[in-house]
Amino acid sequence: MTATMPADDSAPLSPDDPRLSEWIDGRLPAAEAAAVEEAVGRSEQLSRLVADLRAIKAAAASLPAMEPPAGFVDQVMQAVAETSPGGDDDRIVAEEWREIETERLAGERAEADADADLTPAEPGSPSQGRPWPWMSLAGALAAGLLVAVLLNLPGDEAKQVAMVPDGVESETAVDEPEAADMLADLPAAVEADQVAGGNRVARKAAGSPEAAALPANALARAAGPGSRGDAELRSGRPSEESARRQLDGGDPAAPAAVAAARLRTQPDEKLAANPEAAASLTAAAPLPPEVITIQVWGAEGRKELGELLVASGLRLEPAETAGDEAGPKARQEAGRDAAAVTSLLGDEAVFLVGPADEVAAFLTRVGADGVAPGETAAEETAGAEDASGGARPADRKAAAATAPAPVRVLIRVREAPGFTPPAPQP
Amino acid sequence: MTGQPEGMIEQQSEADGALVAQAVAGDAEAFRGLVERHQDRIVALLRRLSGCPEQAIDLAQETFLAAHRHLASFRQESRFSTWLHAIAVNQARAAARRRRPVASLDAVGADGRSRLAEPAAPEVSVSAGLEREELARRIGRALDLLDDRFREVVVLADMQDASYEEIAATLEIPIGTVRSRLHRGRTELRMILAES
Repeated sequence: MTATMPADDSAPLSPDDPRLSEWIDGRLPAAEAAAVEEAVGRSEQLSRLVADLRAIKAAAASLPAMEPPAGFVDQVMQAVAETSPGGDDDRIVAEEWREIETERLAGERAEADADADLTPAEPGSPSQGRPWPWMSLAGALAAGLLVAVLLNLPGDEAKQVAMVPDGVESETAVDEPEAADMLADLPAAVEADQVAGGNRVARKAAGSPEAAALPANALARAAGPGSRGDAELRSGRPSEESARRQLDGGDPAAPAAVAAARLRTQPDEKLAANPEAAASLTAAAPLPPEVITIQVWGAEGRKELGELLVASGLRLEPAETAGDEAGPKARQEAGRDAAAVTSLLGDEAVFLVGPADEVAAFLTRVGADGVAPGETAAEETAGAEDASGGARPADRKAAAATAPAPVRVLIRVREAPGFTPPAPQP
Repeated sequence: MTGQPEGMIEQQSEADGALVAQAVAGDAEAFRGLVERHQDRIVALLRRLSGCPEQAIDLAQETFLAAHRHLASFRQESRFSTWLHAIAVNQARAAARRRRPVASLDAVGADGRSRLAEPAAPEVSVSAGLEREELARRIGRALDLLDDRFREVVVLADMQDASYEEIAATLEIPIGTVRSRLHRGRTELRMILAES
């Protein structure tokens, strides 16, 4: 492991020769150490150098070592807890998201209620006092079945339903032909429930065994935007009214469903006080979406993440304005602008919106370690241009019609500590 | 990197390995154990590499956070302490880059040596007549003036008592480079002391 001494042991040793330090450190084999010792003994300059190096080594070793401050370990563990998945930071973001989503769902429910009130009442409709008791019974049965379907939705499907953003669904026909075909075979008895628009279709869908096989987004689609059934489907939770009807129908699971429906807009501590309702809510709730942390290194990394986002075709929405009145088109335009995307990335929490498979692929691509300077987005950009950049609007619309269900995932963009940029290439 | 007998080092390494395995499995207390075992050396190392006590604490925390994030990728092919020291050195380097511009590669010759002006060798001993305490104090300041590449090796060798092999593994450089940088670092320290 060490260099060999020159053949001529009497040759002078250069002061720059690393073997001098190796000799001081006692790392030279005996023969070489003897040769170095002899060379040093012959040279006053080397002798002085070696004496200084020994003194420097000893003095450096005696330098007082800085000790960690009191509580350092606790600080580290606290930081670990905060930055770990499911840590404090994530919980805070999740709570913020829950508040945002609760407000959004409350708004939808109010709109759905308003829509129902504005719908011209048909003779014998519920708003006319349900003159035919059997229709009430059929409605309650259908609602109960709907709740049952909702409660049994697989988690992923329920999530997809919950993440369908406003407006996007109206542009994206998801599995609609398949849904229409299946709806055509539903039992006619459910049609007896004379309720307005989408609710009727939703109940029709929910009241059949085939409905269980329908994609959740197809059910939402079939229910139609703005209807109560649609709101329920998209939220993945029964409304309190539906749950009450379920209760009236004698469903043993109804009390928990009613409590869960009530709790949807109430503080979380209520959940802790009612484990049964909490369990029901948990089973039915698609919330929250995955909270993803994307780490970036400095402004450059943030910018490159923005470029990757633009290239990916996904878009960002600020959490505080998601579902606002700006409209999907306006938000989409904002999401396609690189400067706007980069600006949004400065926010603590934003929604990442796009087809589920593309969102998943994007998150996989940026990976757990995020986007570092030097990971060029050129290939991504080129690929995106090939795939869709040059597409005509009509082609895009056609592509959108066959696209998977859009999802909205809450992400945090945060600075990654301690990134080491790649070494410059010679 | 402990200056202890090999057998004791091996025991400590095994203990680290067990804690790492538990921490990877989600045992927070095991990770706490790793922090407790290594905090002294990491803080001391970063104090010398960064030259700033306050920054050393921040960098040490970031070092342990980074270690926690990537713990699952630690394959135990090297000692945990070596891996952790490498993370700490990277933290210090990143902080140094944020503080000042990176030196041009033009200043480094093909042999890896700096082409910056070579100070003349001191004609008299810089250690003569100085008490060790005074010399240590001056060395502490001189270390801050040393080129990062040399400071890393000197600090690891002379203050952390790391072997050449451990330094090579930590800095991911050939052992021959460790030898040359160590000697160059010490001689440059001597130059700085002579000028001060």
